[in-house]
Amino acid sequence: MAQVSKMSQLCQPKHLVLVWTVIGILFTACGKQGLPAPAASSPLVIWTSFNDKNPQNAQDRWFAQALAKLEQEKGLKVENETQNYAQINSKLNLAVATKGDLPDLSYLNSQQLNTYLAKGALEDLTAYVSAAPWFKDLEPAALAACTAPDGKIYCVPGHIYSRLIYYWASDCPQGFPADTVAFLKAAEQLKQQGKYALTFKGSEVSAAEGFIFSLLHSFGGKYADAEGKATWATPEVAQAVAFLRTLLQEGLVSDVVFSPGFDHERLFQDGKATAFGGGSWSYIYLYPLTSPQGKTFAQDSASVAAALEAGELKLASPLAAPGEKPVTLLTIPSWGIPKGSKQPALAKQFLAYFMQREQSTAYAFASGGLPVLTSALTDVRFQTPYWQFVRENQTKYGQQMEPLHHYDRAMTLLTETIGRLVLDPNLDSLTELQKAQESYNAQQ
Amino acid sequence: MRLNLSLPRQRLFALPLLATFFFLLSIQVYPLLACFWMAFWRKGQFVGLGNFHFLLQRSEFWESLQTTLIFGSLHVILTFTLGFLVALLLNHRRRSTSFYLVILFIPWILSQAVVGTIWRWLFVSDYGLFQEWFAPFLHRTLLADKVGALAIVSLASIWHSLALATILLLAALQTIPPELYENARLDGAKGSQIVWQITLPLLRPHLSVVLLLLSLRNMNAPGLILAITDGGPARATNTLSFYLYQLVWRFGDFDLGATLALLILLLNALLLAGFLQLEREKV
Repeated sequence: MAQVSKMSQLCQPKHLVLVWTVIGILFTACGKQGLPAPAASSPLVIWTSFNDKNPQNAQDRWFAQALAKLEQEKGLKVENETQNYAQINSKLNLAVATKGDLPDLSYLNSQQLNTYLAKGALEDLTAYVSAAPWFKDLEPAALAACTAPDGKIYCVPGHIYSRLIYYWASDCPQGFPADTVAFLKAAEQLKQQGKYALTFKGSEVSAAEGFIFSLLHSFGGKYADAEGKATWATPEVAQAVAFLRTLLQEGLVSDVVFSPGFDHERLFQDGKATAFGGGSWSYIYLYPLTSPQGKTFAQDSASVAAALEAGELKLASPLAAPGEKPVTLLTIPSWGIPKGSKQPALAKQFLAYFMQREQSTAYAFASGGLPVLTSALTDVRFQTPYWQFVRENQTKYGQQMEPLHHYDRAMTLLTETIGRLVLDPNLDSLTELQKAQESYNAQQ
Repeated sequence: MRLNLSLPRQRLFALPLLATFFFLLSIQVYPLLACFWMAFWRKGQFVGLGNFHFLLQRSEFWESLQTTLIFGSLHVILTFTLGFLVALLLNHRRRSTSFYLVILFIPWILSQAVVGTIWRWLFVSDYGLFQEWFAPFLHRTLLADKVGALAIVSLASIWHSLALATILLLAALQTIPPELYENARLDGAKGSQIVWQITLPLLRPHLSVVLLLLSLRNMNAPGLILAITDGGPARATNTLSFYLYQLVWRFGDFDLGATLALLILLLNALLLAGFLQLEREKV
């Protein structure tokens, strides 16, 4: 009876009017009429990993200024949606696949091009790039990174990243050891002094792009064959894993390298680790620095430059296998127009602006990579010993990533497997690598 | 003044209910059905149980299941035990109970991302407070250690869920008539005897609800793991819910993700059935 009474109370006309009003508002809000149609004056929506609204470093500050300048000079308003650097590629692929909220243009990593192609997520830019005034000025490695196996161009390269070793000069008076055998000897001596010889990222996805990539490839290992099939279960990869195991078991590197995030960098920044396996961009984040002699460099992203100038810090190519050449992975942060982009014409205006020599050079310098335009290499900012070394290292030892159709999955699986092998020395390397390889290849 | 409505009132009232029903259908039932549908397809091809067969053959799935069971057991047993002890204490301290409950509730109102970040910072290698405390005894970085990382995630999870267990158990404790305790004491029963002979038997109808809520919450939420360890080191904290997150949001594999989601749903259902069976046995 009480329920019936409540029901009749709720059925009072004033309640019904209220309920219907709420429903009406909800339907109006959900309807297409509620969404403004993209007008010609809509800002260009882009996805990047840069934080222009709340700049965290020199790169972000440059980007915020560049967007303001673009609006001032060309009247092009840009809405940058900051994305996690490690997830921007998978998120863009997902947005295209699910026809979700898409940017008009997005930052992407060229090493993931095959994954984008497998998912059909990018617009073909061959005609646009080939006709662009900067086309003939493009660095061949940069153009190759944006070119699919069928010869079509799917992205516009932004700058070129490579990997290298930063080391404290006072810990290595004879220079940084060239190969793994010499390194182990030097590392034992450093251990006697209570120092770690090296620090590098050993966990998560990007580990397989850095020090681990260089090491495995120098030993003769490969991540994939020409068809994109994983080729991890080889004696060469097992040799590289054995070297990594020695480093951890003998206490030559700290176990911090297997912590999530970038905790391991502190060891180098504080002078507790002699060397750091990083990238050409690391100087943006690598501060403050305190040398083993106790000298501090705390000039934001200019700290590395100051330490280099003071002779406290030096650079070396990645560690090589005995008798082999070092290998450095070239990755080219690029721009791509996703399939379904609402304003591709505006996206091309943005690209035209940022591919001008002045802008392209500034973008590369702010991001810690070499410019993709050959003419920009003569810019005064890239004539310092640091950039001369980066260029030489890149030219001599640069290598592109093998084609992987499921990039994040491959990198995750490989990093997890190597991590497990290093942390558990009782496991058989070839057996575990074979299992991981089969698991990846089965999902093709 | 009353509105003159042509339709009968009940029918007018039923229409908004119908709208709500369709709304719920679209956000709850439709995704579930879509999940079922996707689990039987692979890249646009119908594969029957192929996705299930594929996933069940992967060592990653079994590793994640094992991690889920270890993590889940630690979480449920320790959270329940601690929650029960705290609830017992609060049940006796009636004057300051509200104050302690507010303190206890602080972790509960925080999101998993915030809780995860706090616990990650506590164990950061160089300046983490707890890492500093434990380092002289353990000589290792806990976040880089497979057992250590799982322990940290479990501790964070217990800290976060303790309030839920405590409040539910405290509410249950307060349904027990105080006369029973008084009579027991008069009969010479000691503290532990009272707990085992009176409190726990009378709490039994409520225990399965608490245990079920703790289990389901733990099994289905990857947030803490994402914030603390990102599933590492070397998959040591990669639970089924985190594996699902990886498959869908990092690898963009909706078909396998849907398959795994159904397997997790099945595990949830089994868990629920187990608890319901326990309830029936009690009756």
